[in-house]
Amino acid sequence: MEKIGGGKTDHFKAGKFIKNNFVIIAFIIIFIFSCFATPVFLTVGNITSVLITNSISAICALGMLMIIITGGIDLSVGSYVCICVCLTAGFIQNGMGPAAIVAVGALGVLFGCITGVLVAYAKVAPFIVTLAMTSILKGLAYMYQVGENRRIDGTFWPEFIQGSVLFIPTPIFIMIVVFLIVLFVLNKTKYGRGLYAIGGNQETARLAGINVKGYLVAVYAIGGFLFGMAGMILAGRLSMGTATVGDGYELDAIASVVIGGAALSGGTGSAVKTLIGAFLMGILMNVMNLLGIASYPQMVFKGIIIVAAVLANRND
Amino acid sequence: MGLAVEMKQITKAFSGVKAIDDVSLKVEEGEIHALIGENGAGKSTLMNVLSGSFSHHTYEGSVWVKGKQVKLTSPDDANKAGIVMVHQELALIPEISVAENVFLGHLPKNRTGIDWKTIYGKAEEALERLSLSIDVKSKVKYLSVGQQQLVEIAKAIMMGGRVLILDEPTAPLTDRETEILFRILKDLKEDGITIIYISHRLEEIFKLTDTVSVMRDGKMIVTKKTSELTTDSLVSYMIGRELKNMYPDMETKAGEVILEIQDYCVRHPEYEGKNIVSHVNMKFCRGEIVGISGLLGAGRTELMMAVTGGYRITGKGKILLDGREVHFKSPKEAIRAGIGFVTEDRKGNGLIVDQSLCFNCSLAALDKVRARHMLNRRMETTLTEKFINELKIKTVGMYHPVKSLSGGNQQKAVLAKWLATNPRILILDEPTRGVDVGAKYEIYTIMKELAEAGVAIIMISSDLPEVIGMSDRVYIMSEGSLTGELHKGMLTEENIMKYATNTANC
Repeated sequence: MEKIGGGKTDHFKAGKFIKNNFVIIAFIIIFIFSCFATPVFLTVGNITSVLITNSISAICALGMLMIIITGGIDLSVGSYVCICVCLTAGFIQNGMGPAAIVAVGALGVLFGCITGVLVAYAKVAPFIVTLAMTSILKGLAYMYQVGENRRIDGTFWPEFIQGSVLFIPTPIFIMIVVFLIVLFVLNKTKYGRGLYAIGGNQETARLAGINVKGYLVAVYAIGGFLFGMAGMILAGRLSMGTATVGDGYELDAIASVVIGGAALSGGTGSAVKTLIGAFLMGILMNVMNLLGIASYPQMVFKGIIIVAAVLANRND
Repeated sequence: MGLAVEMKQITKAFSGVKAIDDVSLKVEEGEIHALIGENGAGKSTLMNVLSGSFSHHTYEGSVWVKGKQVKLTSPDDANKAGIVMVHQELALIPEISVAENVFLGHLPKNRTGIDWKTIYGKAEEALERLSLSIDVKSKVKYLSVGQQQLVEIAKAIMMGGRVLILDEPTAPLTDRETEILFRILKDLKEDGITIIYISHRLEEIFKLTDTVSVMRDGKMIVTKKTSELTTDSLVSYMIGRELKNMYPDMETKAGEVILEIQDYCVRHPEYEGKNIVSHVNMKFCRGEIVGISGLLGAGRTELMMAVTGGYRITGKGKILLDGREVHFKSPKEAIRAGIGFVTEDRKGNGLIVDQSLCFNCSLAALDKVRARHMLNRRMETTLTEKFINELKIKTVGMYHPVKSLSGGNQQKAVLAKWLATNPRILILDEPTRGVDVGAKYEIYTIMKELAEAGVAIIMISSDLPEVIGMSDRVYIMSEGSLTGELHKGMLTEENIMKYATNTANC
């Protein structure tokens, strides 16, 4: 078929390019803006601190991404983080040593499996199941965390988390590893392909021989593991266990995924763009702090960014 | 009578590619005007222009209704001008009542709110006008597809439609429902309503329409009185060359039995104590094309779905594959055993429409595009390219979403997905529904070639000429039971219908 005037086509392609890479372009613009806005921004100290602070939410966002690709959602991220902070500190206090880390990770997987089974087999809407899990996990966290915060200063775990691996601060290192694994799973494995297929059309996926139920249970279990890991890192950074943390983590995670161009209806989403989405928000918060903008206007601004991203990513 | 609708020199492009190019169309008032052409010829685009789906800014040319130029910006605008389109995908809301659907968007109100009395009364009137006996208070989801179609038409007329555009209305209908529809359309024509009828089925064109316009490759080829045309001339206008035969003339030879179903029953999903498939015995051989015919709801799809582990209810009975008893708990197991199932509803469960051709092609055969346990992009591309060539899939690129493909090419994409699994048994459910003549022939040829290569082909089809033209042997089902088996020499429409309506022994 013939083409109409080259100019129009080029214009169209440029528009499409901007739309497809909105998050990357927005990230670059905000980054450059930040460099000029305040001299403190582009210093090794500040950038490292932004990376460390946001590695936890980036890990949550990557877990959330996998779930959102299947067309699901997990609202209980904050509660996972909360209970895993408490359990990590508690287990270490009880003298379990490194086994505490394994145990908390396993519990994250277990909670995720419960969610997954309810979603895949009992066919309860993910929104409802994870809303219930939010309450259950938070309640368990408070039940476990009676009385004072559990300090774990000076034990192996805060030392590890606050230290570095291969000259990279540990939280950043863990985040990079998680990112690479998620990237690999989504793009190179049958499992990752299956997740996209389930989000695109569950029935087509099932008839094409994909074990939809198994895949769904696994995706919530992986999510649980990653959210739990975020909690463990937070416990290490705080050097204590407390049930007052975690609120709002799910919203940040969802926002990062959506800013990264994924649709909540499922079937789309990219690990790279989600990671950039997470740091876009992180940098924005950081620069607003540096400019001395108070926290309430920051919240307003954050909301505007989410809406703008969704509008920019929209089809048509 | 004057012109009901005139479209002058319409040109519409999508991302720089012209979908229709300088197309003009004149439709007389009170006629049934067929618009035909292969998939991708531009019929839907042209009708979307007429029905206001594309705003008048986005195309060149003008639309005239009853001699006056109209500038449509939305379907609502078109409705106000008396033009209503009944889409191929039914747009009724399943969870609310028939009457509410008929009035959707403009529910009449009285002082206290919605005027239910008027709604039910008027809806009943509208359905009566089409001589339909449907309870207007029942939810749409309980209606058959055929009934839903008729409700859509009632809705269109209720909205004051004077020009109805029907996009392949008979595709999901049984022969009996089609007859009812035709009778209703002829009645509407008597009332002075103009109908633009998009279809692939040539026999329908001759039965129903007064005038035919043929489109090809985005251009209007010809508009003629139906009475001046023959099937052959129509087909040659459509494909731009002469088509000798509707069905490829290739010999197939039945080999040994590969699949045997014995005394197979599937419980009815809704009615307690009833079977949707009851005590069915069938045999399928290598290299043989076996048709399964019957009316809609005869249990054909349910039978084959249950046998291959895809139905939500597990069937009872014996399944022998190569003489060994098997039991497939999921489609995954059936695929592993070499069974492919080209399902009926390509958008509902055949394709992932937002994903690319490449994604869809490899979906059921991901193991075949892996190297060292990793999905390999190059292998996927090679696989997809192979099918684009073999099945002649027309696409702008294998990474474009399949929803941008025409119906025929989408069907080929589903076929490609299953061929990629290298099946020994291929089940095809209504393989050419909503597919144009050219693509039909190509799909038939592929089926024959597969059979020649020793694949057992099982074709579920309601299209009788297709069943007769393609099958070596036909099983006919009625209300869940196997009522007859016919061999090649005995295949006539009358014979099949006798068994399908279970009146063979009367």
